[in-house]
Amino acid sequence: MTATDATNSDKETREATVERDDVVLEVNDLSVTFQSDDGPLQAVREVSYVLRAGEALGIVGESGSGKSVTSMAIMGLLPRNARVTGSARVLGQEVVGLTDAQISKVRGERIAMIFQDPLTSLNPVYTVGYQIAEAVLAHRNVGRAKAMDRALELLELVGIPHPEQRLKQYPHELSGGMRQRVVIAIAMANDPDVIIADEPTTALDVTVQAQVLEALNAARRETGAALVLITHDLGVVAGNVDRVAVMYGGRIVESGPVEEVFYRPRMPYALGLLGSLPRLDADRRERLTPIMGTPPSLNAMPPGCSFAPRCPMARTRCHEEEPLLLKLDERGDRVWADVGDPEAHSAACHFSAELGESTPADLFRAESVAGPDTEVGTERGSAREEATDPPAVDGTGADSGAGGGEPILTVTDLVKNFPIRSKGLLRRKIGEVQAVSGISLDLREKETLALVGESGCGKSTTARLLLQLIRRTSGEVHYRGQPLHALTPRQMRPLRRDLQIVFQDPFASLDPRMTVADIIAEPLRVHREGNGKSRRRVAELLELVGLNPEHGSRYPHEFSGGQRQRIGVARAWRSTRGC
Amino acid sequence: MSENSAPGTAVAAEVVGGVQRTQLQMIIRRFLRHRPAMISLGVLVLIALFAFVGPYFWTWDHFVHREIPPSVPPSADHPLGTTTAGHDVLGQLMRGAQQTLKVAFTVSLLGTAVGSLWGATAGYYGGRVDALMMRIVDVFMIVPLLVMVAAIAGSVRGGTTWWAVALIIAAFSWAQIARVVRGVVLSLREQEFVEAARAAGASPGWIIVRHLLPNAAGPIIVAATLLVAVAILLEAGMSFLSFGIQLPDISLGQMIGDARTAASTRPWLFYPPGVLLVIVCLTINFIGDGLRDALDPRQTMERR
Repeated sequence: MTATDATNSDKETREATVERDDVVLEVNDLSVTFQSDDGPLQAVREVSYVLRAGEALGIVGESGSGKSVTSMAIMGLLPRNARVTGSARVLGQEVVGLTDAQISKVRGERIAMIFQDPLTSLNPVYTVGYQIAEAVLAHRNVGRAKAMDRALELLELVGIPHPEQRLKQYPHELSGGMRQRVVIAIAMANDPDVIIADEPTTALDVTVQAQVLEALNAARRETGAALVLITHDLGVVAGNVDRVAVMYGGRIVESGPVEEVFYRPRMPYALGLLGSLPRLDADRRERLTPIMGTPPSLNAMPPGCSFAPRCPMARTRCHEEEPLLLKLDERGDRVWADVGDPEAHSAACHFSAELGESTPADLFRAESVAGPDTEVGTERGSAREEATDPPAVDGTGADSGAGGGEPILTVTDLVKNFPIRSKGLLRRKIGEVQAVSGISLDLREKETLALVGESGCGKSTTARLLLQLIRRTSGEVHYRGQPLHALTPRQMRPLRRDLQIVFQDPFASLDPRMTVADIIAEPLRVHREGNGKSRRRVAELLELVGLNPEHGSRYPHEFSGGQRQRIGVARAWRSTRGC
Repeated sequence: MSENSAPGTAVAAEVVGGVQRTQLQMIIRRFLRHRPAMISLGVLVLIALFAFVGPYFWTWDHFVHREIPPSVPPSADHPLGTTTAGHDVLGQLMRGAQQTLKVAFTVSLLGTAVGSLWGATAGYYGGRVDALMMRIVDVFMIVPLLVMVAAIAGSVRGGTTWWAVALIIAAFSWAQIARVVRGVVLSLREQEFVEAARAAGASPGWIIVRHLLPNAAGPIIVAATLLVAVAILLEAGMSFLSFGIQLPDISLGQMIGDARTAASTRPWLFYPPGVLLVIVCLTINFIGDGLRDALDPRQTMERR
């Protein structure tokens, strides 16, 4: 094994070869450190990549892997407590260390950025046309009329129907997908050489994602810009980029052409990511293979490979020595890849040669059958929003209809209309929106029912109607024969222990001022069932959802999104006992 | 599960050696680390000692004594000088600070408690309840306090006790806090964790006290600290209108009012109460800052 024989001198010669004309973005040993009360946090460590004109690079990783921070560093958008070292060159011009005024000339003109949330990245008080024109005028003194013409052109380009009308509309009059296309149009306004798209489709529905990605591709074709597509969604990356870089713990751990990385991953982490992807064509009894554990915390990086604590392949060497990003040569040795070589497939793993043709299941399955808790935890990960009765929440009764018998929850012709009120003092009702129209369903014991649909189709409203969190317009909801719709809020309260909900947003659904133990114990205390046992019960529940029971005294913000969601599940769970 | 072995999240340091700190201990720890707040707290304690314990050790109280020579600049016998009428200024300062602190804190606590409960209730229920409750607030905001006081003062002779003054100021200042809190609660109640509490079967009272008020702590504390300063000024204004604390009893506001023409000729009458007032207001603001940060669990990596 000559993995580490690739020396620093190799690296230097390697860097010298990068001088080429078509390179638009060159990132070299970029590191970002945040100063915090808990000491320095290394968010990005020695990230290097090269982007050629017209090329598309996908950066994939879990949240907190440093993928967004890398691009923010290139754009000069990081807060002041961030220290950036290394270099990032846009068309040969160094951008790291520029003042805000200097980098403003680069931003928008040469390098443009698209953010995740189209709802907040447009200013609600200006028309769409004005905002695009503003972007044009920021770098070109062409006059307002010309800028508006350009705005129209751009809207056509990103595939917005009736662009003349849209130009005069405000962001709130456009759908999410359309707004994101407007953001893309703004990014294209000055024919940038690089477009960085940070999770451009994450906030959108699957059906709209495709349209936005198409707009992004159109933007690339038209401007000839190179694209950096940052995402956690492997599906988005697959069809839209030429090369992928996988980030973990602030480093690039694997990079190479899309096909190579997807079909022959050389790093256990990349393999694990592929295994956590749900597939429609798989057997529905086939469970996902999750990567156990959590990403390392940035202020306490393990000394060796940052993935080692979660890696089923890890050996002593992995825990001691950090692997370099190297490619395998023909003989199976790990050597430096030529940075200019777009075909190079490198991975930061000492044992990438041994990975061969393993499947995610081979590698991660062995661990994932550790206990029944694991399975439930997995299932929960894919369930977005559940408003079902207790036994069904359990998720283990996968085969539907197994319960048979009497339905516990019966819904007949459920209708919810939201009134539209006039403006002004009287707020008269001038019409109504039908959010849910005539839903009927039965739910039996041990049954899991999935409500599927695009956003805005009434899924969440239905869930809230079932729980009487909002009042129905008409229709009936019966729970074990009791008419829920006829109960007053006060009468409903004791029943709430049997009807629970896990919310969609793990960030908004936990009170930020309460400790996790208090959050989970709240339903107990509300129903006065604590009786001094609540502490033990909380520990049990934490254990059950796969969290450390000692972490009860922490606050929600100290947990990752996935962990928070499990806290939400634990809170919903407790009430079901003794039922 | 491997979760248990990997100390995953960023603030693993909060649990030291397996010993878990309670919420209260953590709040206290965060407050102790807030340097401006700690210094301010020390200064405020000193001022309070000066005001409440000082009179027992100092020769002169706040009354006129025949032995005191009038209009003497600071000297060994009278460190802060004397007034024209024959008061010892140091004695007056102690008594004044005492009365002012009592009024200011009573107003602040009372006004904040009533105001935040009122505002949170209005905000949580919304609709007609909100409309009605906020119209009542409007009434209290529209009628100027000093006009009311002037009207009442006509029928009350010879001044009032400090708590009557405090009650009246509080009755007219809770309305502002109610408005602030209602605004915050209006946005908070749309958050999913409030819905989650409702789904858990929590009653409105529980939600308001356990979820809404703690999350509105930031604005509430800011309003409460501002109220301390406002109360001090209002009390001074009321004394001027011959209502509230009257001679021979004295408050800081009154001392400043009496000495306003003497600021350049006899500065020892004007500056001691003035400076003390400023220090009290400043320290309370810093303490409020520290309290706000300490109560916010997300404040682990900020500043610098």
